[in-house]
Amino acid sequence: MPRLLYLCENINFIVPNANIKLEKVEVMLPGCESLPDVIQDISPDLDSYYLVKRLPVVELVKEEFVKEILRKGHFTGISVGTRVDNHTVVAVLPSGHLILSVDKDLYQELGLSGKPSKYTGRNATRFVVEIDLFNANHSNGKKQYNRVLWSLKDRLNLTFNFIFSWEPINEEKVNFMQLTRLWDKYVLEDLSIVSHTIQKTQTTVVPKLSHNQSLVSTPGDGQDVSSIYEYIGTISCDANQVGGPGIYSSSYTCPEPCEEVKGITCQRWSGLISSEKIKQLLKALRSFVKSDAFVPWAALTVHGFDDSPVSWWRKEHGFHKNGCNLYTILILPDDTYWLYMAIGTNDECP
Amino acid sequence: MEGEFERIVLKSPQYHYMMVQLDLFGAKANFDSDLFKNLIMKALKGLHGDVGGSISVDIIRFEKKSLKSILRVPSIGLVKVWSALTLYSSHNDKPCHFKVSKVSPHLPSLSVNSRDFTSELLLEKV
Repeated sequence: MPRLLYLCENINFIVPNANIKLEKVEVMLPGCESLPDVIQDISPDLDSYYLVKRLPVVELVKEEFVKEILRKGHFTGISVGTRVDNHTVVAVLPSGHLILSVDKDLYQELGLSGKPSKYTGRNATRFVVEIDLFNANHSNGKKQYNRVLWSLKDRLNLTFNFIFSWEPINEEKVNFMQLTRLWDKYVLEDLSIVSHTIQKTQTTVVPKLSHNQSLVSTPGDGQDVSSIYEYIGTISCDANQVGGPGIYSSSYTCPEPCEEVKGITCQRWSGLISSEKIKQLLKALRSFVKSDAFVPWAALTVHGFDDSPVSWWRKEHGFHKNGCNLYTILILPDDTYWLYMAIGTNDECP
Repeated sequence: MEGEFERIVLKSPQYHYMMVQLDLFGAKANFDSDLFKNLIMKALKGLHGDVGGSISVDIIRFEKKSLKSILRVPSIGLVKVWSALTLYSSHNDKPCHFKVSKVSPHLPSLSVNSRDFTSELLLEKV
């Protein structure tokens, strides 16, 4: 049975992002009938990411790639079409780590050292191999480098369909030509972030959150942190059933106390989204909520890929029944935030 | 005024959420949310009797055309509901089955499906 684990923290400073791959971002604004311009201007759909098909994994460990691309920007990539519970998954993190989640047979054939997965019981059937590409020993001529190259190319020529995004550190020039030169044998396709809007333009009720409200609810209180999170979920899932005490199909209602707003906008962007974009969105939402009196709070939800091999703080991630790894930041006008971290069954508590 | 930092960890869910779809094998039927709920309660009573019938299942979202739905189920009754839906096989003497695609204690996680998203990415570019 899927296990529940989530944390709720009450903070008043911006939290740096955990190291999870970002697949979807949602912004929820009660009190707005459409996305405000200040958010539209930094919308992630202005960015793009890339798909490269049948890329050999060895291309990601070559010294030239590490020097020219990884060290000069934030490169994030993950294999697509692969499932973390029964295929081999490859991911590259901006910190310079290459993560391979492999099954037992492939691990034995590969010949690289790794750790057994925490989520497969006593007889490990999956292993996680982590290669630090920024390590001093990972350079031409060194034994470790030669071994990795030999395993990934000569021993087993692993290839994957891979999506990635790359943001150079120095903004003077985008050296994308360098990447196309290194990978000239492969086709790079430009993909755009897809955007989807859920809007409720009629008057709706939303939970009323008060200044300095404690996370620990008192007995008899209709509203607690989990019911607020459930409310955010109903908007995000575009709930279309009206519930209530006398209604047969659903008894779900908005948690009390609640207030009326003139509408809700929920904007979702799907694709490989960088953590820098999330920080920009967070900053913009923070100032927007403080400035607009009609918006009682805002919620920013970030979903990671279900099949990512790593999740919170580079710890192992497994799928189990749903593979969820997401967090929601609820922004209040008094500069406080509630951070919800929804942790999957096969994940460690951060 | 700055509030104190608080951190709470919640481990016991009150509810689980299921994404289900009713497959009628091509047969046409006119369902609304009340009829859909009736079907679920029938499945529960059929397998688990009155105990199953007392589990309150809420429909959060219902799509009439595709017969996809998101249900809210009390966690203590999740196994009963899931097993009842899995084993329910006919409606009005016609074959049908419930497909349970996702189950999670976090409702926001049901709004997205990265496996479908990534497989669509690859399909478009073939």
